Amino acid sequence: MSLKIKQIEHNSTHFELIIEGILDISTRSAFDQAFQQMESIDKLEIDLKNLEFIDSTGIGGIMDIIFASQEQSFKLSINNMNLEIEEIFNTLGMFKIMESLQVERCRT
Amino acid sequence: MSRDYSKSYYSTDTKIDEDQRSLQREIRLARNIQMQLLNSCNLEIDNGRLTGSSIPARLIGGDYYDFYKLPNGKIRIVIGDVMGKGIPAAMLMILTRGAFRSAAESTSGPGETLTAMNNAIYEDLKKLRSFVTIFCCDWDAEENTLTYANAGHVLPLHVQNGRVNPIESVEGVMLGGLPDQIYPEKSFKIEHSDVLFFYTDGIIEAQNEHGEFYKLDRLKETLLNNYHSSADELEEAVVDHIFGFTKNQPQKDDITMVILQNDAENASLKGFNSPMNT
Repeated sequence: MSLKIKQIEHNSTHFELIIEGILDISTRSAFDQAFQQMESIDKLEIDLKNLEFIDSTGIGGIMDIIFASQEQSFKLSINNMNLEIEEIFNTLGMFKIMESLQVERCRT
Repeated sequence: MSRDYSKSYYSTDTKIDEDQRSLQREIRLARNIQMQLLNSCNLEIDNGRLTGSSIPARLIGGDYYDFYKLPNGKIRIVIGDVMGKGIPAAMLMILTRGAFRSAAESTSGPGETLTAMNNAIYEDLKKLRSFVTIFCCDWDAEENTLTYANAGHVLPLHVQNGRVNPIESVEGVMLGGLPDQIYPEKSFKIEHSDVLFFYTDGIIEAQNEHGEFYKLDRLKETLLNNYHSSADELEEAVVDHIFGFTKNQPQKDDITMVILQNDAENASLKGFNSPMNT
């Protein structure tokens, strides 16, 4: 299983990345590339509903976008992670980081 | 007129071979340094046994463990995992070790140690877009207590009376995640013949040829089947079981474990590193 990224452009400054499969050291560059391709972001949503596995390098990719949202002043929300991914985020303290940096989190 | 390029091709190939050999030699030297630093934690204590081992996925790795004997007789134990793999992770592992060794001397408990470590390396980690997960605890072998704090690391497993469970959770953000963090502490009693198993996620995320993960359940089963053995034998059983599961699949992540066995017959503390599986 590899990584599949679907990019939806809601309008010229509002984007959504739907992440499927595995986000690890072997797929991180594709994830970074998908983010770097977007310009003039006001709002970015990342949907993790179909993310099956994430390792520390993949978490680093998410962290990069969280820090970028601060530096570039865009609104970020990370949505729909499954229970396993949620547990990993919880252990790492990612929710505290997201809360502290005003990153939204939605569940459906 | 035709020109003979064979000599220049030969020279180029030779140069590449020499560069590769030089690079390999330097990586092996770096590996030796890392192994020596991880090996430096041989201590003798009473009332228990503590072993550690680390098997990098590549020549060098980003996992870290350390034992530090405090002036009050307690042993400060740390296990950690740097984001990523290979040389970049190994460089940050050395940075983390330095932060721990400095903090262990000057802080009164594991929570303060993690705060001091985060304060020391937060800016560097942020600049490098990296992070480190660390679990830190003080083992009081006289009072049979373990006091701990956690910076985003997977919780150790407590083997007691034929049951295996993670110890009670304590909140804490990974090092490099946020500045100025306070890490709360919790404590519990360790009973006679209990085992504490500290590990990195390379164990439960080891994969077989079908892409299945080793997972926590297999680790718990292995611990239950072997926890009456010595710490060394338990460690060997875990490693054998993981590699029996993954068979010839390449190791994707560093595998590191520390085993604390309370009131073992041979009271001693040692750390070592297994040879890399190739």
